[in-house]
Amino acid sequence: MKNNNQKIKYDKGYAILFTVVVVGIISMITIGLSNAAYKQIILSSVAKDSTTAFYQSDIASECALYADNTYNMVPPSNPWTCAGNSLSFPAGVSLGGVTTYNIDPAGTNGTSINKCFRITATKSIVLDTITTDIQAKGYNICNMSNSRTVERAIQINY
Amino acid sequence: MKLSKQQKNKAFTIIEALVAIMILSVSVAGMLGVTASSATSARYANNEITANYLLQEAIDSVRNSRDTIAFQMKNTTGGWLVFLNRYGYGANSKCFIANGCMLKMDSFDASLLSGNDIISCPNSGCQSLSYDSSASSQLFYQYSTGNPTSFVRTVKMVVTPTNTDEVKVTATVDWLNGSSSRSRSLEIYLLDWQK
Repeated sequence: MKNNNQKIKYDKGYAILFTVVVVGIISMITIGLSNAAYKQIILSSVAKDSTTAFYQSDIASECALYADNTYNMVPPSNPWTCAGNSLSFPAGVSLGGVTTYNIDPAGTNGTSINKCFRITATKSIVLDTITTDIQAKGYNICNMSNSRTVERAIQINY
Repeated sequence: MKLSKQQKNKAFTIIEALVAIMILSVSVAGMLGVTASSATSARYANNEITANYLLQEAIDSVRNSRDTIAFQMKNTTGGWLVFLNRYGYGANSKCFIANGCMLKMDSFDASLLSGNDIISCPNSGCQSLSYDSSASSQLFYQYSTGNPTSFVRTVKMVVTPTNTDEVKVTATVDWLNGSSSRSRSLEIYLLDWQK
């Protein structure tokens, strides 16, 4: 009788303890799996945003190269339409033989911040040699004030 | 009536076991749900990355053709129109039709002026890509060998009416993630800036 009482006393809470341990182990495994899946989603999302931003900067560089090679940075109309964007060409700012052109799309939704790309081109003339530098920046979402915006840039020199 | 200590403990083990089974069942069911959802998310992420690279491959292949035919071969047999015609501009076919075209990467050659490496898609849509993981395969995703996948890649091109020196290239990849269909697109504008 005394032995039985003692056994029940010793077994008290064992099932709960065992359950808690098993649930803990399963939880750890599940958290690990979920964490890996979450990181994969982040990675694929970053890859997608980065690709979109890169090809926007590529579109920008194509427009800049066309504007320079065909129109010498003075297109026949201002704003000039390129790649579905209305690009405004302010007159180049000259300083010490270097002329800088800031070419911006008019922006979607009629605001100045919603641009999918931005172009800065500089042309310098040294001893009759013209050197051109084009920096084309592209964005994944056409809203530069959004914290999720990813920027990729292409620089071309010739 | 006063119960002895042993009588009080009599039902404890069964109640404890029932509570333990309940906790275990609820938590295991929950964890299984989370694990299944993680597996779906992981498959989605995997497919998303694959689609991303398939899109880049298509866009960069067309761009490679532009650079080779329109620019490098400009003074020989190439030129901007020759490049566009390779993709069906003059004949209003291949990539310039509403159904779009398929780029057969296993026989793709950027310098070809015409060839069977670019095929018009029928009204039923472009053919799905196959996946060939064998060591002898030069490409993983292609149309010739391998196991069919749910990835369908379509390339469409449109010349800007107001500027024939500009062409819009849009690549779209559609695929199935489980039973739900997904789609991703990437577009680029190519210009004849070396005219």
